[in-house]
Amino acid sequence: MARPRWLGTAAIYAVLTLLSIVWLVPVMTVVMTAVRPFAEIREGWWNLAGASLTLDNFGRAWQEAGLAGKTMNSLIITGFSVASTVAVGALAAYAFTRMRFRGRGLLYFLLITTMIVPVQIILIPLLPWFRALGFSEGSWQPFLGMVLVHTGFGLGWAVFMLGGFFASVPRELTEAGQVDGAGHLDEFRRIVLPLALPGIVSFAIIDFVFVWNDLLLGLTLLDQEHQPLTVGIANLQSAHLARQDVISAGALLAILPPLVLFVVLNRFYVRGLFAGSVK
Amino acid sequence: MARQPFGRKAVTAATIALTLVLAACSGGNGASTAPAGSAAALSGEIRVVHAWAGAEGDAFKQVVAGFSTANPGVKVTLVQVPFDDLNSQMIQQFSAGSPPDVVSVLPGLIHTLAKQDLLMPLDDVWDKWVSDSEYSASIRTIGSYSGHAYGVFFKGNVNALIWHRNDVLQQLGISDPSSWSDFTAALDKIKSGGKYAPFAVGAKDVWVPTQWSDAFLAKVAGADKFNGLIDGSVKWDDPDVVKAFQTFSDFVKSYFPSNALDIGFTDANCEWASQKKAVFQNQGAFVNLTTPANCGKDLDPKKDYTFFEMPAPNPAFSDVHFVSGDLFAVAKATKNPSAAKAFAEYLGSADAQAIWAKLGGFIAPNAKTDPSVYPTDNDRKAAKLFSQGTAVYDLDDAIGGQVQTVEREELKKLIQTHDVNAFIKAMVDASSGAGG
Amino acid sequence: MQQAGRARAVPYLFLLPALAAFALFYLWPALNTILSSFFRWSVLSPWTVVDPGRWQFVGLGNYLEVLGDGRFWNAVRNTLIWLVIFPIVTTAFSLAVAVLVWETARAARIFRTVFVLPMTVSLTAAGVLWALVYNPDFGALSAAIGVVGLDGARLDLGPLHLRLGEWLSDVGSLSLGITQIPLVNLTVIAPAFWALTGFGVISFTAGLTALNPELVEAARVEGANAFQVVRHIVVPSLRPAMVIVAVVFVIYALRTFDVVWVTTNGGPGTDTEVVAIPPCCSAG
Repeated sequence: MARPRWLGTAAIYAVLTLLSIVWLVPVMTVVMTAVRPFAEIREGWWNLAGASLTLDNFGRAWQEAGLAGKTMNSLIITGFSVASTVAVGALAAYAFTRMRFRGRGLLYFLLITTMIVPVQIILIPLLPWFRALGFSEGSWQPFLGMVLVHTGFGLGWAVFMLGGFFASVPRELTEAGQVDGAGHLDEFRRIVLPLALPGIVSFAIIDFVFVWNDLLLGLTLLDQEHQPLTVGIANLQSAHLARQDVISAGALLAILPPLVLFVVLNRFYVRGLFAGSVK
Repeated sequence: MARQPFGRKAVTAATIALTLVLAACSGGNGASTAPAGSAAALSGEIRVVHAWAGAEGDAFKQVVAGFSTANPGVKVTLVQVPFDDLNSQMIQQFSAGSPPDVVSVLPGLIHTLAKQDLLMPLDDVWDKWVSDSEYSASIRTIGSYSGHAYGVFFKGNVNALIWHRNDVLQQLGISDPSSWSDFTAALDKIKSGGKYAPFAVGAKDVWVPTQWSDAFLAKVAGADKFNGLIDGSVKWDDPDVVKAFQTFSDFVKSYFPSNALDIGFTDANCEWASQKKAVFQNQGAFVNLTTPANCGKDLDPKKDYTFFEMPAPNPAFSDVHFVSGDLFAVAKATKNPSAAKAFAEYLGSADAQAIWAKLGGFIAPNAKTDPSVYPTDNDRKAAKLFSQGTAVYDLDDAIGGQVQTVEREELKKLIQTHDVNAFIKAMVDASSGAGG
Repeated sequence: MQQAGRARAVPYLFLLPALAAFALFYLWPALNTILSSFFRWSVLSPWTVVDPGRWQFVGLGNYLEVLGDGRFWNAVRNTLIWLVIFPIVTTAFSLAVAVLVWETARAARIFRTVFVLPMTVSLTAAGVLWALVYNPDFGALSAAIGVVGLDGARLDLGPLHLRLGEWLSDVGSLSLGITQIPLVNLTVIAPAFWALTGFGVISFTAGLTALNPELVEAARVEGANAFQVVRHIVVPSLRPAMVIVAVVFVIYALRTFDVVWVTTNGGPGTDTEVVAIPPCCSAG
């Protein structure tokens, strides 16, 4: 009756390999542009005849964009922003999915609007406000301000996505209205959080990528000493000079942290830390 | 009237607590404590915003170093902004009341900022420059608004230059055309030869089509109509303006390559300079410097490539030259007006400009700059054009704002469709709708 | 009584940090933006709540102006193209990829990394990258099309006109009677599709991880083939994830701006302009 299992598996591998190649073409373009002289790229990066290798672009990108300091800034901003968004968002998402209270619908709706409204629309009033709150000067104040802004903007996504994952955790303990504060905190910590962990991790990855790649807020709200990596890379652009090579090198360096994070967390998916709890 | 959007007064009760905490912690980073020098010596700190990357950024740093040597008491902090974001970032910083002290701006933005009284007038500096014939009175007007000079012309550029390789032109048996008909005859010859495309055009970059249309506008409709479009006294449906765009559109139809809208300036640069796919590129004087940087270090501006100025379709306007460049302005809100003004004045001086001119790809707008500082004949030839005849300044940079945006996009459409009427209509609509 | 009162306060305690960040950094600026939309102002002298002396109330004037502008409706059409194409294609594709990857237990990590990789590319880099891919002289796309002899091809299939080669200016159009749809919108959507497929893959994988393997095994023992397993067990269990992913993609399509900005600037002309291109950036 059914075709042998291995045939199906082989077909799956074939399809995925083909798609992966297509998916990697742009990535290969960047890698080749970063490690080969741009004059060679102009003949087609796949053209390997007489190819020469150079690491020059990495050095230039690192130095010119001040990547050393800016990477640190990006790590600080992104690390704290993600931690704060996940923590604050998880508490809120729990309240929305597990509790009944007055104003729930309205508050949920308001929070969700942060997803729909693009950042640039509120940038004009945000800049003077950010200054008035004292976040535009100082050593750590700009970081704090930026983390809070990212938290404010990430909340809608957090509540929406985490709420979705929390909702799929079976309600075993909770009977609406019968649990007091301590009980809720307990359920949140001991049952909902662990069971929704894959969801939380996937949200954290997405939020990390989102904050890591932010250019507009970093450029507008922060001074030179606190600006993230993306600003450094954008500064490599020039109207008159071909900078694709240096920007590609900078971009490759910039994707390393999120990539490492993903590979580490990926392991954690596959192992299925929670397979035990489901069984 | 000092504008204070959300000034400190505006902080609402809800945030007082937070502000107090932050204020208590923000000790260490106060004003710089420069040692008190002589009364005349400048001191303090100024923040200077520019958008030059790579080699251009390094050149500007050398210029700034010249100022720091002469004024050791002043700490100049250079802030680089991505060139695409310069305008929007400056508008935001000025509107938030936190502008840099000195900023690189285009004339369009000078007009916008000056209208809101956000810039420091530099009339006394300009009076001196003009009376010393360092600058002409017509250059002064480029960075002026309602009678006051705000902009310092730092880096000049001449456009409508037709760049080409010497060997390719020789091989094709083409010499520098002296008239428009010579020019089109040469282009027809290239086209029928079939080996090369007449032009490489990088119109994917928004500023490239305007380099073309401004050249036609200046050399078909003339300087008066050109400047009239900027100040609003000439409308976009003026017959001479329409004729200029019609001439341009016909030219596009005949000689533009099909990939014009899909490649950028740097790709086009190499199509003629190193890849030998096309013969010409219509561009500014800065190409002298970018060509080796973009297309191969072995290209030598002293012997491999050069330019001639685009002949005027209307011979009456052969002596109208289309220039552009980068200006600097001082924010009125600067905390260190004397140092900021001194810096701006320095940037306009022949000494400062000679520093970059020596490095190449730079035309010093200051007429007192010694021509011998230019590293190549191409630079010298372009610098001469800059101060010759009648100069008109880059149209869309001078207008700025919404009209600039619309013109840039509609020019792409014009290149695609050759529909001059639609272009003129869009521009009439945009310029009449632009209130402020 | 007191206990009940305390219990009633609990949800608000959970929400307090979120609401504080939300109110300070989103609600207040957003409120300013909304209020300012009823006044006449410019970026350089913005409307402020504290300076009533300079208020110039215009009521719905700003809105009427936008609604009467043909450019706005052109942008609405392009945003609609995004709204129809992007969420459907990307959700379906990433679901398929996630399920296929899940089936390949062994190489799953490698495949998943490949599809998630594009998410980590920043905007500036994506702009440069796709300009390289779409470059007519040395881009991979033109080269690939050239291999099958279709570079520069012009195809007319009924209302569909295709022009291969000029990827970011004119790849043809689709005539729909009332309007001509410039297909260059699709080449602008492609980078977003490439970048955000990873999001779908991550979310669906999270959903698949929660799937009970015993259920799948049981179905297989009962003789269900792979397709039936996916159809009757996997897909239903992914429904919550599908809702999340689809909503996120719809929202992305609605507020899209960055990809358009780095690839075409909204051009040529206004062919790819979308509603969310803000006034800030049109100063160019």
